[in-house]
Amino acid sequence: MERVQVRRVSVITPDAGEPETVAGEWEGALRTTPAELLLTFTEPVEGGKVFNRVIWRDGILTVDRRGAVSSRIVFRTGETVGVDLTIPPLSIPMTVTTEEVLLLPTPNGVGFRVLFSSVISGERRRTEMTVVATPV
Amino acid sequence: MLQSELKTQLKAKKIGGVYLFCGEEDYLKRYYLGQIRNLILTDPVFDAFNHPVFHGEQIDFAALADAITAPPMMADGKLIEWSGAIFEDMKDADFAALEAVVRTVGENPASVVVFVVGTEGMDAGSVKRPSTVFKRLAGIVQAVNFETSTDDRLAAWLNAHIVHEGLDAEAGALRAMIDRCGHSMDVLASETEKIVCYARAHGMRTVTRETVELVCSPTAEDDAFGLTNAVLAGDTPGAYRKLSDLVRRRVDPMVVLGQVSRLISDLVSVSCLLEEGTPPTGVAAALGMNEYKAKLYVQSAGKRRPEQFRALLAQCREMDLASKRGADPLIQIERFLATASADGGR
Repeated sequence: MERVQVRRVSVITPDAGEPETVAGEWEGALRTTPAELLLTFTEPVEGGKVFNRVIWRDGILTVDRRGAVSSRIVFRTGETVGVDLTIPPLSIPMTVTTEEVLLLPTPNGVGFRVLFSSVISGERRRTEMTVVATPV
Repeated sequence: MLQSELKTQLKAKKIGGVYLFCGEEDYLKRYYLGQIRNLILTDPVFDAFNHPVFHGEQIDFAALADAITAPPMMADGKLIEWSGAIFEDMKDADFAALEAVVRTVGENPASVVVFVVGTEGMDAGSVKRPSTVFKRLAGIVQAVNFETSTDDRLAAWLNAHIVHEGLDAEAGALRAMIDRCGHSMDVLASETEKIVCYARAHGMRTVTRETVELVCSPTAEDDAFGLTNAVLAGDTPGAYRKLSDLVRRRVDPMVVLGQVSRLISDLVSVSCLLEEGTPPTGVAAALGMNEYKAKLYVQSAGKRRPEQFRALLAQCREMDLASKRGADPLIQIERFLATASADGGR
């Protein structure tokens, strides 16, 4: 595992509303094998921490979050999946449709870009999420 | 002891001593117990003598010692099993009695003892971070924590089954199966049987993602917060159904009580903020709460007056006290659901 600096930028556009940019930066770890990439990092959120596990394999990006907010989203271009977003003591059903998921070439580390739309409680929003991990 | 070490012992046919099988994956406990039975119990005619099986929350150490010291009948070994014991609250005297069992087995090496414990019997923690009770037990017996398998392991296990049946799987099909059916090996084993039957009936050689979607039943995994969701939505029949699910899955009623109390406590805060004039969009920031969660709370808080939420919170406090005084927490929760339902509108 290699120590990395993880930067995530999400541009979220609700169906009825202006785009909002949410960005964060945390320390994490990256493991690269010919078959897959595994990126882990912990981020503080409202009500605690979230441990993120991001796996890239066969063109599929799996983002597994555990902690104060838990969810497991499989991003596969063109697919719609149902996701349970768990924020104790509630679990909130969410639908995620992946428009595009890409592995980004970066000079030192790795990056992913996902374009997806999500529907929670009848509200739809489109998100462009970019995650870049750079060796420390 | 790691699962791989147990596997090595079985391969070398060197099973001996006292084992403790614990953890969440019951399928693996049954599988390895079956392997040990196959190794030790060679003639079913003598099972009455060579295979004493006990069940109970309290271990009867005297009965266990009797079973261990009685020599095997017409066989090299005997297997003594105990299931359903509660290890979580073991006292020093129980640990000492367990150490004596290990010594007795040492003096009677033909006897092998296996304790099989469910998640209600002890919290084993994880292999990386074992619980205190697991660590203490692992110092006495050969304790194996059968954790829920990772996706990688499950995919490899499913692939081995598929290949064993003379089929193969396209890339991503087995992952899709795990996503759809969940992580229970019992469920996955039966879904694999369905897929194999379907593939054979249709002359297929490869399991595809389409086959998985057509044949495998989707499984909702561990709906831990289904009850609180239903209470929040004012869905009383749904809340009772979710409570039944939690009881069936042997979830500690005190945990359920804690979830319900937290929900009502959050709703009191949201309701008070709204009454004070905080705009719905400001609730998340005021309480340092996730935005989605705050939205759901705001919707629900609008259905009752703050004093109604306060009354429900007072009832949660009473439930907590009553449960700690020995009342059945499940009955308390059922009563609470009935009250919350009767008190459901303005």
